[in-house]
Amino acid sequence: MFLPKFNPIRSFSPILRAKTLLRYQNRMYLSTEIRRAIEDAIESAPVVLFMKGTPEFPKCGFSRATIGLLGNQGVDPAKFAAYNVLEDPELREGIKEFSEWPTIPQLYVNKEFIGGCDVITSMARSGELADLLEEAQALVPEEEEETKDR
Amino acid sequence: MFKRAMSTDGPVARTILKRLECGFPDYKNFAFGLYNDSHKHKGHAGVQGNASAETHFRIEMVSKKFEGLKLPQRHRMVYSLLQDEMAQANGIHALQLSLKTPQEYESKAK
Repeated sequence: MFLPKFNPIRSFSPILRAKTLLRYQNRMYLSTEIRRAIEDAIESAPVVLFMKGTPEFPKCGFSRATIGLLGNQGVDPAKFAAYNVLEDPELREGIKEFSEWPTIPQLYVNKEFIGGCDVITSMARSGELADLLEEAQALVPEEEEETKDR
Repeated sequence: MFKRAMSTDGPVARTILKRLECGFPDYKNFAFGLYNDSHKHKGHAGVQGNASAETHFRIEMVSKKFEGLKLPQRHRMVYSLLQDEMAQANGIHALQLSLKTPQEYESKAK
């Protein structure tokens, strides 16, 4: 649509063509096994973050910022799962292809891809993120201890 | 010695501008910024062994092409324009994007 289907520069450069081919192979590389493992990870909690490092020790500023935003929103730790892509090269490459998104972190809410750090930052600012997490019932419940009337 | 500001006229930056011009011919009509933030991330885990001074970029762009599209869709448009540069081992490591429609930009500016 916005990208010309045929880029003449590309077809004249054998190096670029090889690279395109390589990328194509990368694309085939996502085996059913890895695909299933990623799906399992995405289903493992209402809020799932693929990140670099761990929530306690993020290894990248964008992962750290995203963890911070989710924490500020009050995401319930019981409803949250994080996966460190640095621990697993198959996940690191696989998730990019699976989500069709070239960067980490990546957020999923109720199995739906939401976006990376910029998208989440902007959604946090506009209030969309709070709505989304509330709708997903992923937030720490408000203090209910004093109203035990049920 | 004066510290040199990170340039946005390196080969990667020039490619970015070229690709954006192909994909979003109207971007020059609006506010635009391309920033090279590579110095902020020099030598961190993800770019070790990558001597390139063009690894981290930030783009602020306005285009009518974003109208009616959600943020992830807008990001994907830019990502797919730059997919070769992002796939390379020595290519773009991180890309921060702020992508607005002209209306969104206007309402923010007021």
